[in-house]
Order: sequence, then C-alpha cells, then structure tokens
Amino acid sequence: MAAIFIVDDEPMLHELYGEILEMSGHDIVANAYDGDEAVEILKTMDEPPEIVIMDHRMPGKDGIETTKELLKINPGMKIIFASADGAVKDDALASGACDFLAKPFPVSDLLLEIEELIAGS
Amino acid sequence: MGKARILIVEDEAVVAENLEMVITDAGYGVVGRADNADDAVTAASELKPDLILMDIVLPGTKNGIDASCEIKEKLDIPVIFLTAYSDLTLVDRAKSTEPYAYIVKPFQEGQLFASIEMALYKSQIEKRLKESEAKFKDLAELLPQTVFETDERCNLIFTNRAGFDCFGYTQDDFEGGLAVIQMISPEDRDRAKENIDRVMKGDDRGGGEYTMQRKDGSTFPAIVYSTPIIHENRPVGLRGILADITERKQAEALLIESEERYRILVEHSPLGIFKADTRGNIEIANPALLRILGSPSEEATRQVNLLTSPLLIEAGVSELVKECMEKGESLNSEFLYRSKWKKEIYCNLFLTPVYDTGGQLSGIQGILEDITERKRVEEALRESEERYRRMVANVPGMVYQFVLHPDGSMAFPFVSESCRELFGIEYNELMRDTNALLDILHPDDHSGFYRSVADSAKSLSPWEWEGRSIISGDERWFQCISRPERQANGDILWDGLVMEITERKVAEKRIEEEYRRAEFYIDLMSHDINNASQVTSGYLDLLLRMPEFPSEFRKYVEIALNHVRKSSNIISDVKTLSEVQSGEAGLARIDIYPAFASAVETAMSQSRDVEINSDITKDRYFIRGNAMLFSVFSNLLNNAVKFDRHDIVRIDVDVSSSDDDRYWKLEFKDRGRGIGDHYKNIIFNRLERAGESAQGTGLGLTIVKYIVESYGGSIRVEDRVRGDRTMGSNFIMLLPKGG
Repeated sequence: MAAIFIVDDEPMLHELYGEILEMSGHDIVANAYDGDEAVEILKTMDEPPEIVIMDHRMPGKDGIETTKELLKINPGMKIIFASADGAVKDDALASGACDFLAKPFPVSDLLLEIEELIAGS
Repeated sequence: MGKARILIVEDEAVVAENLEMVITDAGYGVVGRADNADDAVTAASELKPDLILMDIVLPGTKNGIDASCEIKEKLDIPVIFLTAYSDLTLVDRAKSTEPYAYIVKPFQEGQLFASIEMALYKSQIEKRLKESEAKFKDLAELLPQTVFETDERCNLIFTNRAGFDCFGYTQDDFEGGLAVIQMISPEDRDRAKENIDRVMKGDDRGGGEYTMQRKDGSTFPAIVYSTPIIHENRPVGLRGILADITERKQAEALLIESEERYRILVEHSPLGIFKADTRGNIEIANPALLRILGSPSEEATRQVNLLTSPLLIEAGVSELVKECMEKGESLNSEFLYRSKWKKEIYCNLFLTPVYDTGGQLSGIQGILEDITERKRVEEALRESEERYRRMVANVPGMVYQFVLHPDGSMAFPFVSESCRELFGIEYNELMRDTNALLDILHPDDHSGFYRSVADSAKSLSPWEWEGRSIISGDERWFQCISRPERQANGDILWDGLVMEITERKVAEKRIEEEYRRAEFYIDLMSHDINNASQVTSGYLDLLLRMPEFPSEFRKYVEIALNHVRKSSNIISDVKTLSEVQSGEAGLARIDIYPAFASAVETAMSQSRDVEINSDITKDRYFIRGNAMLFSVFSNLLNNAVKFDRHDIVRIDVDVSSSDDDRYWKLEFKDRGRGIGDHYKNIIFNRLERAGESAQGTGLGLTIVKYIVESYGGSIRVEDRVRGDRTMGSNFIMLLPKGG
C-alpha cells in the first residue's frame, strides 16, 4: 500500500488513476493540476507521499522541472513519469524520475511499477 | 669736279708768276707756290693740291724728281713735270715717279691745259681703280672660299687668306712657287689636268668636284669653278674659286642613308604604299600593296588605273582619288574592295596630293591599310556584344555591376533595363544616383545590407543577399547574387544578378505556416489524443480487471483496447515521420546492434512463437544513423510477425558488406504471405500516394524508407524465393557504413 500524489492537468486521468489505484488498495493523498500547485501542496503536506505520478506537459512548469523541484523538497519520493511524448523519456529519467510510462499504457504496467517501487523501498 | 687746286713748284719767279696767271685765268685755283724741293714736299702734304706743276731743275741738292718721289711715297697727287728742252735727259729718271705728263718750256697754253685736264682725269680714274681693286681684294680676302689665280702653266700667282687656311700653306711656300696640280689628290690629277686644259680653251666653266690635298697630305672634297684669264686674246692663266664641300658631302651621305632607310621602310612596310600620276596611273607599288591586293607583280599592279578601273569605281576609291586631287587635301576613308585578283579586303585608304618643285600637282600618294581582320574582329565583337546585350536584357532579373570605392561610397556603373520592371527606377537614373535604390531598401534590412556588402568586400567571397524593398507601398523581396573582384585602384567591383523572389518568399512563408500547423496537429494528437486514449484504455483495462465483468464480453473489450493502442501507434508513427522529414535528428556513428536487439525484444514479446535468426552482433556493424534506427528494425520485424501465419514465426536477418564495400547490407527474410509485384514499390510510398489504398500496413514502411534515406541508404523488397511470392518477402536494406 502506498501514498500516491497525482500531478496531471487532465481531470479525467485523476479520476482514472484514482479508480485503479484505490481498487488496488493504494491511497491518493493529493491531486495537483499543474507544477506550481504540486510544489505548493507538497510544502503543506505533513506526511509526504511515497510515490508521485507526474505528467509532462502542463500549463506553466513542465513535468521535468516540477520533478526537480519536488525532489529538492523531498528527495525520498519515487516519481513515475507518465507522458504521451516518448521523446522526453531520457530527460525525465535524468531529472530524477524512477520510471517512464508512455501514454497510453496498460493499467497493469502502472500497477506493476508501483508494486516494484514499494518492494524496492 | 669743282675747280682744281694746283700747287706750282718753280724756282724762276717770273715763270712761276706767269704760270699762275695763265692757270688762274683758265679757271683753276693756285693753292700755293714753292721754289725748292723741300718746300714743295711740305706744301703738298699741307695743302693737298689736286695737281702739282713741278719744275725738274730746282735749286739745292734735290730737284723736282726727288720732290716727286717723296710726295708719291706719302701722297697720291698727280704731278706734271715742267722742263727746259735741255733737261730732257732727266726725263728718263722722272719716269720712275709715274708722272702724268711732261711739258717742255716754254710751253704753249693749250698744251698745258690739255695736260692738266688729262692728268686730273687720269688721276681720278686711277684713284677709283685703286679703290675698286682694294675693295675686290678685301672681298677676296674675306671670302670663306679659296680664291685663286694661276699663270698659264698653272702655278699659283694669287690666293686669298681662305686659300692659305684651307690648304695649310704659308706665304713662304707661296713665294717659293706652288703648282695647282700638287694641291690636288693624286688620283684626281689626270682628270684635273684635262679639265684645266678645257677651261683654258674656254670650253668649260668648271664646276668640277675633286679631292684636294693639303700641305700635310690630308684630303678634302671640293668643288672648283674657274675661268681663263685672257690677255690679248690668249689665255694667260686661270682665275677661280674653290669651295670645301665636306659638309655637303656629309649631308649627301646622310641623304642617301635616309633615302635608303625610307626605301627599306617602304619595301618592308606592312602598309600598302603607292604613288600615281594625275591621270591615275600607278607609278610605284610596294610589296605590301601587292600582297594586300593579291597582285602577282608590281608590273601587274601598275596596269590598274585608279580613275578608270571598274572595281575601284564601284568601291568608291576613284571618287576619293578625284576628290583628293581636286581639293588638294589629304583624305582617308574605309572601303570594302574586291581586287582584280579576287581578293576581298576591307581597307583604310589614306591619300595625299603630291606636288612637283614648281608647285604643280603631279599626282597622289597613297597608303593602304588592310583592316579586314580588324573588321572581322569588330564584327564578331559587335555580334557578341549584341548577344550579351540581348541576354542581359532578357535575363529574368536585373544584371548589374556594383562598385564600392575605397572611400566607402558606392555606385552602379551598370544596370540592365530590367531595373524599371523590378524597382520602378529607370536604369540610367540608378547609374547616376545609387541612392535611388538604397532609399527604397526596407528599413529593417538596411543594416544587414551594408553588413553583407562589407563582409563580401572584406573576404572577396560571393555576395548573396536576400532583402526587402518598399516599392509604391508594397513590400517586395529580392535576391542578389554576385561575385566581387578587387580592382587595381582599390575599388571592389561586383558583377551580379538581382531577382525578385517575393512569390518564393510568400510560398516559403506559407510552407512554414503549414509546417507549424502540422506540428501543432501532431502535438495535439500526441498529447491530447494520447491522454484521451489513456483514459479510454485505462477504463477498458479496469473493466477487464473487474471480477464481476461477464467473461463472454471480454473479447469485445480486448478488441476495443487493441484498437486504442493501434491509434496511439499511428500517432507515434506520424510523429516519427515528421521528425525524420524535418531533419531534426542529426547523424552520428552508431552500432546497429542495440537498436536491433531491442527491436527483436519487442517483436518477441508478442503473444506468438517467434524465432529470429541473425548474424548481427555487438561492436561489429557501425553505420551513420541515429536513435530512429530502432523504428526501422521494429517496423520490419513487427510486420514480419504480423503477416506470418505459421504456428511458429521464423525470421532470418542476414548482414553482409555491399559489393562496393560502402554499405552494410541487411536482409530481413520472412515467411509471410508475400507482396505482389505491383505493391513492391507502393508499400514504401504511403505519403506520396495518400488517398490510395495501401494494403493496410500503415505508415510503418514509409517511415522505414524515410529514415533509411535520411541516412543516405536505401530499401527495397524482393520475393524471398525468386518467382514465388507466397514463400515470403526479403526486405533488403543498404545502410552507409559509419567508418
């Protein structure tokens, strides 16, 4: 079971991720719809999330920048990058993300990844 | 003559008185009387009488003759002796004083007056003669030529100072006797003797030229004019004049030399030279003239008459000859002339009238220059100029010369007429005023223009510039291409062409806009559609994960999921294709193996039994490529898997070096259903044949082709087993080796 923070500008994905993850027993501890909001929310959280699902293209800061800032605040978090743009995979991993999922990905891939991250920590 | 003044010398006073009375009565004047010799001499020198009447017998030691002698020595006064008959014996002695008369006392008046008159007359004549002699002697002495006289045996009896100077003889030599013949050079002596004889006989006035010989043996050329001296009808000698003609001879030699020079000039002149008389008959024609006219000889040429030859009349030459003679002026003109000897020549003819020494027109002199070759070159030049002019006028743009002076000023030495069409400026206005063009430059392009001109001037590299001008309010684009060249005076001169590219620029702008729009669409698809697909596939996944979902409907959900993934694959392909086409991905030396290995992995991960046999190994096969190589391999392998209906999919991938060693040749051999000959090309060209049915292979092979070609390689498909397509396909790829 993991505490998960979802950062994505698409509300439908928040819902989908919510359904899938909660069905699998994970907790969605926070939702942010752009990078700045994500940073603000993380700062106010007493208990930081274990896992962040990070979109790339959002209004304002992009996923890579946001990943860097979030990790600066809490380096212990695992960040799963989920983007439709496969070209940013290398940059995303370089910025500190643990894994990259190219949208659209099968739900099973996401769940498998989370399981691995939990097991790894 | 006025009244003669007479001095009377007579010791007998009566005689003297009587004499004076008689003379005075006769109208003469008596200036004085003396009665002895000394007084007589004194009176003569003081009174300077015109005549002295002198008694021979005088008192004292000196008589009248002595007095006369003394007077004669000092003065030139005529003396008439008076003598008694008994004194006649003295007369002989008196003769030496050259008296004018003797009068015997007692004298008769008539005889006295006659003697006085005669003496006065004779004295006057003598005086004149003496003056004249002196004059001629002075003249002879002053003459720069040698003046001489000889006796009948040709011994020199007189010569002037010039004679002495000229021959180097002295007065002593002269007095010792000089024969004329020894003053002539030995080789000329015989001839001289003959001529002298002729002159003596009066046959010849001389004027002969001889080589003369000086005392020191040196010689000089001279011309001698002589005439016989006749005395009592018989030649007694020669009188003559001799002139040193060394200078004349030198001048003559120079003249001959100069004539020779002119003769050589005329003979060798490349210009035709001729002379003709007033009737048009050619008298002289030099070799060049014959050559120009194609004439066989000077003789043949001389038979041509300048005024009557039909060919010359036709060419207009005769007219010019006539005009030259009539006007007496030098004229020249160019002619096209076909000579009698069938030579067609363009010539430039100069004519000058010639006059004889009397000033009478004696003919014309002509110089003929063959300008056929020059005319031909001129004609060719004119044609070539015309051709270039036409070319320059018809070039689609403005041809120009642009110059940058060392002081930074600029000018257009030449612009073609298209200037008007392109810029609305008259070409001559632009050549006069460069600002006419600089002023209409788009303000934003000003600095770029000057900078690029300066760069080109500095590096002398071709000047290529694109920029805008504002012409009647419209923005127009121009492209200038030109090549600079440094001139000797420091100018930089560009020859070039300016073309209007407004349409191209508009098209380029449109293309750019469309490219951006395409990017936008791709971006939209890859982001928004993928997000939407994620939602769709996510929920479909969710459905399948629900235990209560009826199993009989699962396959429908699976089909839907499959197609959602497919649509996302299409988006990914389009993105890849766009990246390949935009050339964004650079090339580098890469190993084929990693991309191949991961493509194999992808192909094997499908839910089929797949067997891939390959020679491709790590660190062995390098090409010039990029990360897209993975797309190439995965497209080929996935297609092979997809179309292979066998239980076990088997794919062979062979690698070898191309025949020319420049490429790695990769062969992907499958056992699929094969590709019909008609489709063997089409399958790679989905983009060019948009709209046509392309057998549902998607964009995959099109992407493969674009990527391979972007590497400088190629791809084609053949039947795996030649002639039997059902045995599967062989995709053959050549990829340039990467060192």
